[in-house]
Amino acid sequence: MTKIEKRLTLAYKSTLVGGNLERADLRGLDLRGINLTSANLRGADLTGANLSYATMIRTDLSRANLHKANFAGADMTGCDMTGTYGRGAVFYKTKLCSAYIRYAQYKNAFFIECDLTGADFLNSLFLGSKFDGSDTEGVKNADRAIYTWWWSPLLTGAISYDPLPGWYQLDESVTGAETVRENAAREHIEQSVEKSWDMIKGEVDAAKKQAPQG
Amino acid sequence: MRHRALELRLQELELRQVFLEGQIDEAKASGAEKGVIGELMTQYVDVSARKDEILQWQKEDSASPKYGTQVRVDGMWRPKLPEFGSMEKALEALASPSGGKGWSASAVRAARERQTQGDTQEVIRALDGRSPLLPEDERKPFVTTL
Repeated sequence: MTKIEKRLTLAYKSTLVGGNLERADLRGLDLRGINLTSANLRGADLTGANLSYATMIRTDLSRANLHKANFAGADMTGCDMTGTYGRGAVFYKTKLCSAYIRYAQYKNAFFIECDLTGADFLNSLFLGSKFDGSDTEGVKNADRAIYTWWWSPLLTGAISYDPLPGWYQLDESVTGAETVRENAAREHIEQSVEKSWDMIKGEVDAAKKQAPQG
Repeated sequence: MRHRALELRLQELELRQVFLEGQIDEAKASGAEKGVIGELMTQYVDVSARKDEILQWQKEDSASPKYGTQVRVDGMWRPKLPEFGSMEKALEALASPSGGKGWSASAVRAARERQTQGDTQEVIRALDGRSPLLPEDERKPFVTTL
């Protein structure tokens, strides 16, 4: 058994039922088959994570970042996905019965052959999402979600959620599954803070060296 | 297509129409002033116009329903949601190296090309007479006071 296989087996058998992973950084992790039933993943970062065949019954994913995450074959029955950011997320043969997908962003996401029975779509954004072969019986507030945008022909970048004469219909997000980092400024601050810490550390080390021994 | 609120509104308008018909007949029979009959007839026309508007909207909506509206699929009410149209296409998009996310660059290019087309320029002219894209003599002045 290779190192990776060993790790996968461990992840497969591991269970975090009811675990508290609030605001956890789980970016790009291979979490195939993990059991996160009733776990708290509020505000967790699951960017690019692979959660295929995971069991996530009634997991709290509210405000989580599911950007480009893979949920193929996962069981997400009754999951709370309120306010999640799931641009380019993949849901293939995923069980999303009675899931709360409210106030969420799912631009260019795939919901292929999913079970969406009784899911709630209130005020969510599904621009460019596709729902081929999904069971949508009893989906709540489907008419309160947004599926298409209209672009202003005046090159101003203004958008409308209702059709307007002369405006272009936009069936998908133009940036695809990629996201524009609106928090770039924050990142810049974080970097500068880090740099200044390094500088201070360097100065302290230099002072220590210069200090007379003994 | 199922819009309970609109159906109720339509029923209400139909009742109002019947009521106004009766009122007009009554006014005519009792030899009321032409002004009174005219007022009632204006109301009748207004109501029938509202009714026609709803019927027209319903007709258009059932011909091409908006996403999210309930449509009959195999005798069951289901919301209409965006789809590729065929499962092969959906699976192809899922299995593509970019994870089926590589189609957007072409969409941007297509949108840009459309923006430079002649008809778009016409739309710009029609919609916004103040666009800097217009020659100065054709441009409308900015109104700075409300």
